[in-house]
Amino acid sequence: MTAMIERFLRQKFESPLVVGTLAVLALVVATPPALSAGPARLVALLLIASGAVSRDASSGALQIILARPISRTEYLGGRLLGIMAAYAIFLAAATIFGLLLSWKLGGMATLLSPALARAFVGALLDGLQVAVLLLFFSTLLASYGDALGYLLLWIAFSTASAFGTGLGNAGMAQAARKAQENLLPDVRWDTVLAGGDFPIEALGRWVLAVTLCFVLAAAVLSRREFSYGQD
Amino acid sequence: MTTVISVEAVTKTYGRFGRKTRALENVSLEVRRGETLGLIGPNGAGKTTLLSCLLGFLRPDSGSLRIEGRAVDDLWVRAQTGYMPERLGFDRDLSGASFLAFHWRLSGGDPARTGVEVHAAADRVGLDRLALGRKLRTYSRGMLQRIGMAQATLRNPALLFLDEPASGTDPLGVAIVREQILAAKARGATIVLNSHQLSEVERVCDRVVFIDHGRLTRTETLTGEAASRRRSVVRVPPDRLEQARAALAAAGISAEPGPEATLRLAEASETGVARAVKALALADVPVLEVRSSAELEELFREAPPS
Repeated sequence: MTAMIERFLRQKFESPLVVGTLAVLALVVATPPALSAGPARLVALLLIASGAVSRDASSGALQIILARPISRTEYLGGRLLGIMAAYAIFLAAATIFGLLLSWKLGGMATLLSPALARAFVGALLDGLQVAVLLLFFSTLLASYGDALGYLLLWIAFSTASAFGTGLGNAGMAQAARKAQENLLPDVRWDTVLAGGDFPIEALGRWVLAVTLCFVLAAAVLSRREFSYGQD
Repeated sequence: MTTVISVEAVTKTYGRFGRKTRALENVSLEVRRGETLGLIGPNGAGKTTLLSCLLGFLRPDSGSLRIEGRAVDDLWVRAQTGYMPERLGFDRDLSGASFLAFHWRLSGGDPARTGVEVHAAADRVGLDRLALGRKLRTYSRGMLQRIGMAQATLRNPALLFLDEPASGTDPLGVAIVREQILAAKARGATIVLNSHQLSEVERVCDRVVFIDHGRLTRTETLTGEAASRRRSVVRVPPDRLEQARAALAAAGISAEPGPEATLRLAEASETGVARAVKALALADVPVLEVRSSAELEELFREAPPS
């Protein structure tokens, strides 16, 4: 598994373009309040995670890997851990940039607090949910279709809810909201990790969504055939 | 010899609904331990599909494939397997060293020996240290073939599946691939080789199967006493040709004269060739060359269309 994680990190961080883009995004995310820029974090995660399986499959790398003593689920687990390791490095860089910015602005003391650790872990857990959904799409769709799939799903949920409300169709709006709550549950990690509130229902949905996406991805990958011709 | 690979009545179809292509039709074959089997056939015949089924990348519609009595995707089987694909687009973002190190570790190699084994594997295929440090995307096709062969032979696998391992490479690359196959053979590895390079197939394979339109149309044994179609030729000095012919005739070996002072032996088996050489030696006729050929090109043309 460590070999799989190392390979993923090398694939991502040996590309100057990816490293440069992630550094810029880390600076955006580092802007106080640190680690709070959701869209920039999402873009970084899309950059890290998209094509995790599909690009391996289209390049032929996956076929050579699957000829080795590693199960398809192990491979998938290795990709997910690789994504999370790369994302953790990105968040760590953003945290360091944030600390440097705060030091310049004179607010180091307030930034070096449990709140920062909570923001870090919360961002990582938010990232896991998106990563596992991207991984599922990556087992189904070619190339960077996983990123597109994720964005289309998000747009579909948002617009369906708005459409339903606009059309006065309460059922449609409610169904879209329910689907979004279940597949992309919004857990207030900062509150949970601070021990202030324990939203069991939201946490349950989060665990279920993450598990379900990974199980579905494993099921799709285990059934998939890999061919590159009919010779 | 025991059977290692067993393929029984395998049929595989691509496509759905009205646009189906039958890539394999009722293919059955066995590969014995230590045997090198060549898959021969025109483009689109189904050779890569058969290899993909043997590696578990594709599932047959019907029939069964077993390796050492186990399912082809059994992890124990995979631990014995080396595979080199025809397409070499793999891991272009990694350096040659990282690529080999990853596969060494993935195949269960001792992490502490990674560096040593990576360099040894690169040396075996003639890749220098400088090349190992470069990203695979900067490699030429020949270099990719070599590193592909190096990864396939990491940890000396007992089973080797090679899909066009030397296509598009220069003569040196072809020779390196051949050396690697022969080294694996010498270790007792069971090898399945898909190649269009008939001369190479002839040099390394014990047996070949012809596949055409997804069907196995013919099997030919190339080595040993069971060699069904082989031409063996001895070359002697031109002025000793008649003496050589007479010596062979006296030993009960029939031979026909060929071009450039050669004699084509009627009995082309290994024993037959040995008998002929002995007869010539006893008659004091210098033997300049002994050449055995399976005439694969001829067989390829002869293979009946499906």
